[in-house]
Amino acid sequence: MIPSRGTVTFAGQRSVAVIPQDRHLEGLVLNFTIAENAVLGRQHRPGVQRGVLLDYARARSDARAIVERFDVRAASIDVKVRTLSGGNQQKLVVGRALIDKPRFVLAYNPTRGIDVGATALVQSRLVEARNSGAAILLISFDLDEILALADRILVMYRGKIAGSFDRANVDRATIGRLMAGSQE
Amino acid sequence: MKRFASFISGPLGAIVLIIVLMSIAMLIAGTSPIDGFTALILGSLGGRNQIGETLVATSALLFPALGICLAFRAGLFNIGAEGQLLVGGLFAGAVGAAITMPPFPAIVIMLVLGAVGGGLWGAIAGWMKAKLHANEIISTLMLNFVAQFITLYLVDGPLKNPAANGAETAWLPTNYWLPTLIPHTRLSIGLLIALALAMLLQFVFARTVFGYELRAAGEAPEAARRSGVNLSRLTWLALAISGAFAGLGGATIVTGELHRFNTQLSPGYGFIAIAVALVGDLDPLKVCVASFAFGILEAGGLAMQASAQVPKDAIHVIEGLIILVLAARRYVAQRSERIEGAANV
Repeated sequence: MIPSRGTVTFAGQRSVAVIPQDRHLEGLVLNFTIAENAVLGRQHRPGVQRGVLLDYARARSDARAIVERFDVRAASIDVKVRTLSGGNQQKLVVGRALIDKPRFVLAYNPTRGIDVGATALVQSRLVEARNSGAAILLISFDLDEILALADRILVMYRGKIAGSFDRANVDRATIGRLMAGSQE
Repeated sequence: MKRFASFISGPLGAIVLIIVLMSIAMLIAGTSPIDGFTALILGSLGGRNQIGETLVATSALLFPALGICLAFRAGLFNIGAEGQLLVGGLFAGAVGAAITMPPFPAIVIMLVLGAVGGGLWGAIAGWMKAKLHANEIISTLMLNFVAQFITLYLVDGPLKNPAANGAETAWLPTNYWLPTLIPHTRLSIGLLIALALAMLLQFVFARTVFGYELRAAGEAPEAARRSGVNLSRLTWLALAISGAFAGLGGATIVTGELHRFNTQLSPGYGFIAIAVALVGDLDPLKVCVASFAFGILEAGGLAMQASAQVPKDAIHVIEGLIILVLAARRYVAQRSERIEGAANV
């Protein structure tokens, strides 16, 4: 998702937590440590930035909190993110997006390409965030994941919303047809 | 094979390899390596004068090397330190010859304007990169020639000292000279300024938000951009600061050693500084050590030529070899890291 222009606001606030599609390209600096990556995109937040300084003690405590809550398996928070497995990298990305208790989260294929255990953990943490009041826009190509997580489902085809369902009354076959472009 | 690779990629291995390559270069030049190294060491560290000259070269290399270090860490290949150094030196020399005021503010003004001059020269390439997407390797390299000829024109024309034979500005009044650090040598307190700058740069990298964003942009520009880093602002700022470091270096040479500006200010410090920055692993404190090592080569090289008949050009061959060794070292280190990383998945 390359923002060509404009800003996203939610409830009057500019800050929107994003779980990007490609964690390697967009979400992580692979040669930075876990602690350094824990504040990526958050470097100007009050409490992280202090005057011209970056509070590395805060970065480390945030990193420890993420590692613990999201079960990131690493020798320490001082190892380069490059050395982590894909699932652990993604748990770090999701943990970082949720650590400031955002009111709005944009999650783009948050479990793509990661193992079953990491997938379950990421999904349950997203549901917890929803239960504590966050609005989550989940964009996913995985229909099972959508059916398992979403309260409301919008099907998009060629940039237009082709259909809208509540979870209570979804029909897999209808969704499948809309995804493929057929009219209702 | 694996042990050999890890030895070669370590600092000790690099030193051994460089000594072996230097010996080969001396043998080709027809000198015994023992005589050559003796001359090199005596000529650079053998007495107060020699140490002074070594530290003069160390200081002259350290300013542009730190600037290059900052640019490279931001992912920008500033090859233009030579021109930035010249412009900074010209600003300092021209202003110093023109103003009349107490020495302390005069020296401060010369140094600050030297940094401004080099900074402007770096900012041109930065602006071209940020706004026009001009490749900074080409633009910084080409701006060297522009700087060289503009400064030559100015000191051979409008700014020429009519009393001098060559193309140079008027001499600075003696109370505008930077104080000497080691008595009876040419070494000025410019070296202390350079060392302070290295510590400041280390602090900026390790502790500030600007340093964090700069390193992120250098390592992963796309991730940095999506994390709210303004890449075009960072690009011109990094090249401007990088140029300011080199320009300040030029100003310290003018006020500290030359006491006037001419275009022979630098025997290629801005280019050698690229090797210095790479040898120092783009780490400001290691760059200080690397500057000293290259200072030994610069000062000792002259002595090698005089007493061991090793041509000065052999020193440049050696410097080229050192860059090659270090490039190979980085490659070996990256490969073994990748293999380790793959094993951890």
